[in-house]
Formats: sequence, structure tokens, C-alpha cells
Amino acid sequence: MHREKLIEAYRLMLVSRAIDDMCVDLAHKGVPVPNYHGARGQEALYAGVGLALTPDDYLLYNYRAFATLLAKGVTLEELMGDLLMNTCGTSRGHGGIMHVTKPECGIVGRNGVFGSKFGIALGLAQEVVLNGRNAAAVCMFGEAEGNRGGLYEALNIACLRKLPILFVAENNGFAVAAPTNALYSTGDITGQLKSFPMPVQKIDGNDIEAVQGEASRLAGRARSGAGPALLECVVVRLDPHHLHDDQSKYRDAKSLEAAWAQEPIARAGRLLRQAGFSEEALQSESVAAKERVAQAVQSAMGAPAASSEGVLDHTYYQVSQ
Amino acid sequence: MTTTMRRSITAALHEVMAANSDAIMLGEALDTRGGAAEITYGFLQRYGNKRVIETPISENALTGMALGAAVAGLRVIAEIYSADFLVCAGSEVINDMAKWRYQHQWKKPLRLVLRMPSGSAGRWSGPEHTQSIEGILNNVPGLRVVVPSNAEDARRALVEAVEVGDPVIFLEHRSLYDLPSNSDEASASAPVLGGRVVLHGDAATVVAWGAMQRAAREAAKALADEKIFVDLIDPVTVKPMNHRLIHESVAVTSRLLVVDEGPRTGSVAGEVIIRALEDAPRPPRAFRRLNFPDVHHPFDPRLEAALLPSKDQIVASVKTLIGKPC
Repeated sequence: MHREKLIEAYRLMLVSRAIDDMCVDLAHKGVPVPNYHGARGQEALYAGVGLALTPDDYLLYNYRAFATLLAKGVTLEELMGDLLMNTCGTSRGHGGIMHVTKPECGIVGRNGVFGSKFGIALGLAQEVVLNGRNAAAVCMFGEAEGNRGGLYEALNIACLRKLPILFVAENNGFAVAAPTNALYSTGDITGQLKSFPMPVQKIDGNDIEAVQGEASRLAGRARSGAGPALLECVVVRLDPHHLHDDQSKYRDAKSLEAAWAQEPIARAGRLLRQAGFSEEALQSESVAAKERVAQAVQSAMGAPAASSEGVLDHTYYQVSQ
Repeated sequence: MTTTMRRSITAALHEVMAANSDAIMLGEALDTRGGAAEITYGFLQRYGNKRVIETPISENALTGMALGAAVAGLRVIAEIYSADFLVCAGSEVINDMAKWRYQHQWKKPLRLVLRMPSGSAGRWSGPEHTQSIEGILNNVPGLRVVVPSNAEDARRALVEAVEVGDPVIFLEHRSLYDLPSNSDEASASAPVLGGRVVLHGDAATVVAWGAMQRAAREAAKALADEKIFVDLIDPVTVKPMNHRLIHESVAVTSRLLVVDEGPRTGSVAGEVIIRALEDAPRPPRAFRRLNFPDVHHPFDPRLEAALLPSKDQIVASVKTLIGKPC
């Protein structure tokens, strides 16, 4: 991975981690952070996929994918506004982190209930095909969402029509509390889906170089008209499913400790040191990321709450009789 | 050649596809058997496979694909093989399509029509191939539901529905596909989706759509023979309905009958009546609804016919409303 790309990824990962630290801190202080789900342990996956996208690509994101959204063009202030669910956010306090939207950057939004994202990806990809654009639709989903039948319908149609879609499966080990091997007959996603006539590949999602490299390659392949692909990124979720989840009920402390030893930011830091960055330089990147997030929170916190006009005027395109 | 609703829907689809290079169609067996109602033969050859997409039997994916393409700015007409199967894609329709504009504060039009055969054809179809689903959909903000009752309205309503900017569930009544159109069905130049008064009278207001509009029209003619003249309204758009049109009529007639093929409880008919009672400047003094009872459509068409609201029941109901012995 090129030195510049690597430091860019590192910055995204640090900002993502700082967002998590900030959200947890705010929540403990009693500030509502509705629907916040932590990304700790999954930053390499999100930064790597984010840096594999072009401005023309469509993104159907997953709700922990802070780094991907930032790489695709959402500002830090907008993202914090969506996490705090106020008018600083992209949906001005009505969709929050579950419905981040910035159509001019290819971020159309997100389905609210697991499983329907896959069909939406087909439609986005069909627009690319119809208009002959050099773009792909990138559809990110967790292993929990991959248990819904819509995935299988959509993979079939994507393969039948050779649609330009990169499916990114995030296998973080747990569907809320249930381990992946209790949900997939093969114990993973790749094993279950490998019979589809497309590249189906499993990688270490904590390896920023592998994620960025493979996501770029497979998205490029899709853009060139060679059809869809599926990339399973194996990561380890470090946090509970969300703030109100007690993971000590279903995870043992030792395995969590081992996962922290493999966490992706320290690992990316080691790559950067090999590439010539000093410990001080990396330290100052970390401080800068925290400052940026603190500033974004400061400006987002002051934004007004959602307005009732957003409810009353946004049910129909034109308010009917 | 006599126009039928089947032919006029084909014509409307050609109208949309020919006029808009960003219009696409998708659905099951769309080419290989012309879709559910043999309406779409030849479209694939004419408009190409980037614009005409035959899908497997995969309602979740096909409905989601329709939404994704509309979100991407295309004009989309998707066919669902039967209104009864729309519930297979319940989350896509109710959680995604209906809420997309609100949750994303979406500013642009979503040009998206899901068209599908609906209602009873009275042909041994059973309870899963006959349902009138407008009552189910009536409780979902964000959706529009259109149910044309004749060939010319169907053609114009479909073309208008593509442009309306919201997801439209377009219900094509099975029993109407091949009925010859009547010469008096041609509507005025106003947009057909706003509904219209089909026949004028002051004895009572009768509201009916789809196949029930046909039955109501026959009833109105029979009543006219007895010098009882009703205001017959075809709302065309069942949701959100043009209640003002109904309330203006009720202000004159003071009596309201709503005929609805769907089951009684939670029916559209009930909503039309309560809205007139709550909101009309001059609410009806007498009102009544005719619905399918709260049971399933039997396979046996003889049993089914006995349960569907009929011309005779409409005549009798109007007479009851105006206090005239049947």
C-alpha cells in the first residue's frame, strides 16, 4: 500500500475510534446518542473499503461504517449530527446514523430493516448499466443481515445480469450475541456463498492493506463490466453490540483480550513505522483525530433539534389534498 | 378494435417507455409470457435488456431493485405477479419505499409504480389470488394506491402515476382486463388521478372504485330507471383519496354509500365514511358501506359471488338510505 494511502487510512481509522470514544463518553454523561453502534475493532475494514471507492460509486453502508462514510464524502460535522440526531445531520434529525444520506456523493441512504439493502443495490447498479457509467454499487452488510433471504435473491439476479456490485460482508463474529458459526451452516459467509458464479473471497478484515487492495480490485472489476463479487472481511467486534448490551453474558474475557491484541489501529501503526513514520508523528495524528472529533461534536451539539415540518412535509413529494 | 384495459395498459407502458429513455420495466416472466396478464410481450425486443428486465420469482429483490433504480433517478414500472404476492415484499414496500422520503428527507421525486393484478376474477382462484389489498395499504403513510375502473382511465392513470413522484401501488382489477370500454367512460382533460364524478344526481352519493365502480354504474342506471339519480364518484386514487370531491357531493345529497370489494373491518370504505362524518362541512345524515364480509374468498365462484357486493345490493342500499321501500 502506498505510503500516502496508508496514512490516509490511518487517519480515517483514528477518527472512527475517536468517534466511538466520544459517543461512549457522551452517552455516559446522559447525552442521547440514538442508535449508536460502536465500530471499534472494525476500523481497517471500513477505512479500506472507503478508500476503494470513487466519487461516482454508490454506497449502501452499514451503520458502524463511520470511516467509509467519511471517505465517501460525509463531513465529520454531518456524521456527528446524524449520531446526535439533530439538524446538523444529513437527514436533519429524522434518519440519524441509520439513514445517512448524501446523494451527491453516491450515498443514497440505507434500509431501516435488515435484508432489503440487497435489492436496492440491484437497482442502483442497473442505473449504472443503463447510463453506461464507470461506477459500481458497493453493498456492505453484516453477517447477521446476510441471514435474510433477500441476499440470495439479489446475488442470483446480480450474477444473472452481471451487475456492477461489490458485496462486502462484515463478519465480526457475532450477530448481536449469537456467534457466526451458529448462524451459517459452513461457519462463515464465504463457505455458504461460494457456489455463486462470481469471485467470493474471504480476507483478514483487520489487514488494512488486504481490505483496500481487494476491495479496490473487485470494485474495479465490477466497474469494468465483469460482474459482481463478494468480499468477506473477518474482523472482531471489540465493543458490545450497542451501549445497552452486556457482552460479558456471551463472550469470555480471554478471547476479548486476545482480540484487543490484534486490533487494527495498532497494526496499521506498525506498518506506518515500517514505512518510516516516527512514533511522535503517529502520536500527533492520534491527538489531531481526537481534536477534530471534539470540534465536530462541539459544532454539532449546538444544532437545533429536528423540526416538525420535516415530518409533515416529507411524507409525499407534493402534499396532497 | 375495441379498447380493453389490458390493451390500454400496454399502450400506457409504450407511452412511458417511448417518451423517457430513463424509464425501465421489471417483473417476473415479463418477456417470456408477457408478465402476469400478458401485457408486456415485445417490450424486451423493442426497448432492450437494459430497460426491460425479466426477474426470477424473487419479490424481495425485484421490489428492492425497483426502489434502488428510482432512488438512482430512473422512472420505474415494476410488475408484481399478483397483489397477493406484494406482501412477500412487505418490508421493502412498507419500511423502505413508503418511508424513504421521510427518513432521508429526500427532495427529489421517486418515480416508481408497482403495478399488479388484484381483486376477484371469480374463477376458482381461492383466497390467495383474489385479495383487494387497498385496505392493508391504506394504513401506510407515504404510499399512493391507484385502482382504475376502465380502459381509458387506466391508460391515463398509469402515465400520470409514473410522474407523481411517490411510490404508487397500481391495482389492475382482474375482472376488468377484457371488458370492452364504454363510450361514456372517456374522462375530461383534468388529471384522472384526482378522481371525478361519473354520473350526476342528488338522491345519494355513491363512491366506488375498480370492479365495484362497474357494479355501482349498473346500479345507478337501474336506479335512474326508477327516477332515482345518484352522484356516482370514482376516486381512482384510493390513497390518499380526494375526500373534498366526496364532501362536495355529500353537501348536496346528505347521503353516502361506499362500495368496497375488500373485507369490512379496517376497510377503505369505513375510512371514507368516518372522514365525511368528521371533516365534511355538511356531514352525511345517512351513510352505509358495502364490503366483502370478514371472511376469505372461497375457491368456488358460486360461493364467492354470493359474498361480493352486487348491483342489487347497491340498489337496495341506496333505497334504504333515501328511505324508499325496496
